[in-house]
Amino acid sequence: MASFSGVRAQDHNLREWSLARVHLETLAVWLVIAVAFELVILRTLTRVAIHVPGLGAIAGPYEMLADAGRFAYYVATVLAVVVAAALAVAAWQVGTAGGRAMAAGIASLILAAALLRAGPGLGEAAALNTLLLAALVLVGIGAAGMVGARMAIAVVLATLTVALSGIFSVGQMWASEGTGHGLSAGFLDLAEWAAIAFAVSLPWTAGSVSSSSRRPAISGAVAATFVMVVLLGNPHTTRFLLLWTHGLTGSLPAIAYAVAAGCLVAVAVSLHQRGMALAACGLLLLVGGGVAMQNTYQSMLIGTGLACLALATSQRQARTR
Amino acid sequence: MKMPAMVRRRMPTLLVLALVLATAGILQLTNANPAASQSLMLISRAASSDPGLDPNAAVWNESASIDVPLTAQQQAYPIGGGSIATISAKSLHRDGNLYVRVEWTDATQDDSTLKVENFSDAVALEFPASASATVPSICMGQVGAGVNIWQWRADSQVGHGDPSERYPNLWVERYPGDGPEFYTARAAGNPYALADGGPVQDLVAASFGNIGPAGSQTVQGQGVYQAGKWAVVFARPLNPGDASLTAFHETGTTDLAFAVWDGSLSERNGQKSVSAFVRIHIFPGDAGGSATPAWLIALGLLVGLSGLGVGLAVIGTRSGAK
Repeated sequence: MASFSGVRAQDHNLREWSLARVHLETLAVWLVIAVAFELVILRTLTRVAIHVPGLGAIAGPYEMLADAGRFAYYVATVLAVVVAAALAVAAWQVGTAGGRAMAAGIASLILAAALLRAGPGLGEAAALNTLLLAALVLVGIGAAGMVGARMAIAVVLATLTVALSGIFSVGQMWASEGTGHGLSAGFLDLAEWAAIAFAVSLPWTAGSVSSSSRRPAISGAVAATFVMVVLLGNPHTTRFLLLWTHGLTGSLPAIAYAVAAGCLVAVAVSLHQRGMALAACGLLLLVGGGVAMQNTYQSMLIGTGLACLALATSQRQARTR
Repeated sequence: MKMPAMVRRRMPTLLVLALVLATAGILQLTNANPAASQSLMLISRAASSDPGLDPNAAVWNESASIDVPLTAQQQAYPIGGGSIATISAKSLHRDGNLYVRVEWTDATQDDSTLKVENFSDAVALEFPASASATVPSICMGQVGAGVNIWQWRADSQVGHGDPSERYPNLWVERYPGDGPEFYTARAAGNPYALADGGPVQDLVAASFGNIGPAGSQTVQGQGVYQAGKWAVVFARPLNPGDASLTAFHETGTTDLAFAVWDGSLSERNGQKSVSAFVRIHIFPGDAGGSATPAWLIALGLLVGLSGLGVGLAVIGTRSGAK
């Protein structure tokens, strides 16, 4: 593990990091708030609102809410780049091999996203998306190198999820530009399994859910029940939304998604209680980013999520060593 | 007056947040999206010769196809479909016209609806209308973000036919006249009822339940059934000059979704296999040149990135070991 060879560097940078962490945590928390608002209002509510009968009667308030959701999207998009850049600097300052690799990955991610936004010409879209995928994988590899063995399993599972779904997307892009014939949709099924495995492994990989407080367990149970109810109550619309917002096909039994959501929320609450707000933000940003390469904003959320998780847990290790 | 210590400590963060909020406000006001879509893209190249309406025209070999996954329509009643797993799409443009060719597997050729229990094979393309302020709902659009739909029907291509072909003993009382009062659907402008309407209907909608014919019917199309597959070509001028329809440009990107009906499974109306939105990018150049440069770009980027990552990792390891 990179963290063993870089212990001295980590200790040297610990004081500087603790000062920077305050700013980084604040920005990450605001990013999570903006992403959550955008996810609920823009990605969910406005997509199902057409099914609400008599929506015209409340068109004014609805328009205001939709505009607020769009504003949250713009805030999240800009803030994601700012947080990503700050994370890259922090990762670089850690000084370990994993930290440097992660910093390079984040820098490449920002570069690829910027080039894609600039509007690629023919033959460049697939190449740039390949670069973006490679950057995400590099962030994941760097992150895995920064954290302990257990947490590395979670990070690898998260990275594997992105890689599998990304390889399918990129393969399709190359095929559309005349190279190859695309890849089997089986990659998406594997990505789905990896995503569930990541979430379910968290109580073990991210440290046990605190036994001194019942809040994590209760929060997890509420989240699991909610997901179960909406998946069983309105499976068609929920699975459609799951696909649109997170890139999950919803092909597995509802119980799998319910347990995964429960584990994620319980661990996020537990991390927050243990003073690891940055790690909790990382988990929530991964949820906001989803599993598929849908747009550069969501890809940026995945990258920042992995980096938050790695930086928070690696510094915790260094402090406790 | 001195600033409280906590505010002073948090000042850099607060300044960054203020800057982010201001930037987001400007982006929203100018409708400038800082993110780029990474969804599947259908590239429409300039064709070397007129593709016409023949799905088997050799010029279609100049276009690379994409396979778009389909699923059952489960959003609005009547729900159903899902029998067609994927649809393959290609696109070309030439002389101010856009051509889209779609192909899908269907074991039966259902092109007659002379019996009431018969339903036709069909395919439709859905684009955001030019006037749409945002990407519309995939379910036939929404208020303020309408959609333009091109629907090809196998039965319309074959023609209405005469019911006596299927029912030889059919007897019809003679109509007292042939005025519009006796052909109400034609009088109402229903393109399906028009004998010379062609196999493609140009439709507009701004939510499910209110689809109707466009003011002008400028989309042409032709389908061919062979070896268990339908292949259909749509053609339309890039710019129809109507805000309720979709305008394309010589270079630019818009969204595109697909729907397929299998008549032998009684699929009609909302019972259809549908896709999510993909993007269609109209590229001014032709298909000249191979994909090798793109591979080289990707390879170069990958090697460069990996080298950078490994290099930085080595530096990190050394500085950590000191």
